[in-house]
Amino acid sequence: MTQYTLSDFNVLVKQTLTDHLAPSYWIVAEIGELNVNRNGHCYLDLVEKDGSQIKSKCRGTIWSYSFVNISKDFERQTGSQLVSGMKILFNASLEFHEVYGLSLNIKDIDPSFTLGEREKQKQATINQLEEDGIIDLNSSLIIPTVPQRIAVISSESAAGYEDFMNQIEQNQYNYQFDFRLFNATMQGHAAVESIIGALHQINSIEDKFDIVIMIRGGGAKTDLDCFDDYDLCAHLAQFPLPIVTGIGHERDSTISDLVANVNLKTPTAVAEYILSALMRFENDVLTVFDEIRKNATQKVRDHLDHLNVMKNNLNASVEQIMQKEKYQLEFIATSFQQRPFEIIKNETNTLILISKLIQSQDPEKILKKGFTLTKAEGEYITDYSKIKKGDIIETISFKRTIKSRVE
Amino acid sequence: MAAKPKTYDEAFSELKSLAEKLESDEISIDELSKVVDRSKVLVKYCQERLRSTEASLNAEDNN
Repeated sequence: MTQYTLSDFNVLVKQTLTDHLAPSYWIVAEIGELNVNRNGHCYLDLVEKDGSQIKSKCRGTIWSYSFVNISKDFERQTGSQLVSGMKILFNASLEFHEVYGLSLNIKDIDPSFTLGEREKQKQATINQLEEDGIIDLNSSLIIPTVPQRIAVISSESAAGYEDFMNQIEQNQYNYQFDFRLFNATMQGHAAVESIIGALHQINSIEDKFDIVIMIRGGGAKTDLDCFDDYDLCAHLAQFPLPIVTGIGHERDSTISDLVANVNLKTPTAVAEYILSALMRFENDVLTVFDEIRKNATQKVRDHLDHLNVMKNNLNASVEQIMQKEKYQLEFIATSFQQRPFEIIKNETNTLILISKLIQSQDPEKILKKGFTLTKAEGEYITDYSKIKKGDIIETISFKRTIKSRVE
Repeated sequence: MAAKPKTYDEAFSELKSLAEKLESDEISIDELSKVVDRSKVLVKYCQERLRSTEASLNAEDNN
């Protein structure tokens, strides 16, 4: 039988592999572990799992000159760095080293596969949340008109948190808030448990708050995958207070955003949202107050106008009455002035008439006309039947008196 | 009506109902000044609360 030295055998293996394998293959695997040494070379443990069981395993390398570009491109397209747990599609050649054994030398990674995987996973999580009937729960909560008592889930050291606090505490309207920070890791896989922990803390004193905000500064492209985690999202969805997210994503929103009551892009947007809620309320209050004022003023004016009209009417009536009285008085006064003269005039006329009448009865006037008066025994005779024969009568005419005897 | 409102929503709905009553001519001239005074109280309450925290308000109440 042929005997090989180990090195000879390894050479044979190496040759066989080179002869029978293609220069490279596209392979799907999960990153079990990933390390980048100080020279920039990336060393990975690639695995294929069946549930939690490892079905297959192989070492992989990405030399630094490739790794620089691959990782940059990967991050640009997926928004994430290459991390453990991630499923990737890569192009690699099989390397057999006499001392170090088999490894895959990765030359390229297809980011769209990972994206696709992520999307699939995301969709599966969303479906599960829907199935559980909890996906809409937080969205159905009603945010108070004035959200002033706010529980903040964020990382104290994050720039996003500081910016947010500055912006909202130094607002130009002088609105005041009650904030309480619940510190949590806001990236990487540790974030899931950390944030859930914060949620539990808030839950134990939930009546002290109006809303919960979850904020994280953007800027660097860091891992948002934790916000797609089912466990975290289930907690958020079922939380008894409305949740507002501002976790600084640039492109797609995460499932956390989906289940939250309100989702905004950045902590700044969250600050603006809260301030505008207070502003809107204050505006509404002032608008109604303005209506009240205007209405009241108008009513008073109307009332005054009405009183004025009444006053004018009253004045007019009084004026009318006064006028009537005045005319009546004037009339009487005039009468008093004229009447005496009239009376006197009348009486004078009467007197004149009477005197004329009397004068016309003057015997002299009658005698002048040729008439005579007869006297007997010194008395005027009117009844001639008394005169007898032999009586002496005086016939008085105008100029003479004739004595005669009746025959 | 003389009670201090407890919440923003309480204050605002009272304010709205005063405005409605005024609009529908349910308020007599005598009540007018009372309505305006009350609405001023409500507005002041809202504005003060917007500009102070629970802590400072509680301190005020306790004093």
